[in-house]
Amino acid sequence: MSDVVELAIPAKAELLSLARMTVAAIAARADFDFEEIEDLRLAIDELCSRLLHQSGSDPAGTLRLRYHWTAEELEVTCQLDGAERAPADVEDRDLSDRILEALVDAHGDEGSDGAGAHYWLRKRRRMAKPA
Amino acid sequence: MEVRFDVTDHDGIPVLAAAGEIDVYTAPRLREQLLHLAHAGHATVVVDLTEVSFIDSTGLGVLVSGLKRFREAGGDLRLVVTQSQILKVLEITGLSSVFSVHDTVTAATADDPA
Repeated sequence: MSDVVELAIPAKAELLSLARMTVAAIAARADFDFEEIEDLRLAIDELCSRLLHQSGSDPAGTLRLRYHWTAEELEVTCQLDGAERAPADVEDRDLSDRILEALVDAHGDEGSDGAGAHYWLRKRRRMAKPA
Repeated sequence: MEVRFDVTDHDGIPVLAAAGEIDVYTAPRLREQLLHLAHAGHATVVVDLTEVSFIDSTGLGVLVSGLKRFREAGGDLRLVVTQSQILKVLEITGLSSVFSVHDTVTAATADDPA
């Protein structure tokens, strides 16, 4: 089993809830448990918030999310198109880092490859993890 | 799915009850509410998160800023938290040992420093 959903939304703070709702719906479909779904909602929010901080005052960008899941894990990439990459707002970055470290199995920043800022995370289903 | 605020007085301590989701969009409104209470001269406030279903690092950052401001003024910013997911986020960020966290408003308003 392997499926992909892509979501493109204007890079506006008021629309971030759509990225959270989408990951919750997909994680439920992929058999993640309730606590894992809540973890994923928060983790996705943290990734997208970083990109929104980086887009600064440029409201023209598009936030592109790609959700790819298998029987074992869910991987999400978030990319910001059409906005210049600005230095991240570091005010809450420490809290954000601790949250991501605790809630997902892996996450990273692929940097800007000309296509815009780009973050990813991966979370394995608890039931799929080796004992 | 935004956020609502309601302030009530409990024996002279304002209790700011939030309901909804606190994220990068709604956190500025939490900041405004806390600044308003600070400007009104309150040293100690209680933020009741019982009806908050979601809070992220931006929302937590606002609470930490508020905590610093109220403690510098000789007071405190205490939390009421019952939702397991929010307790978990406070734990993993290390903030559960920074804030005075209570499970009821009554306990939070009664938590007078010795």
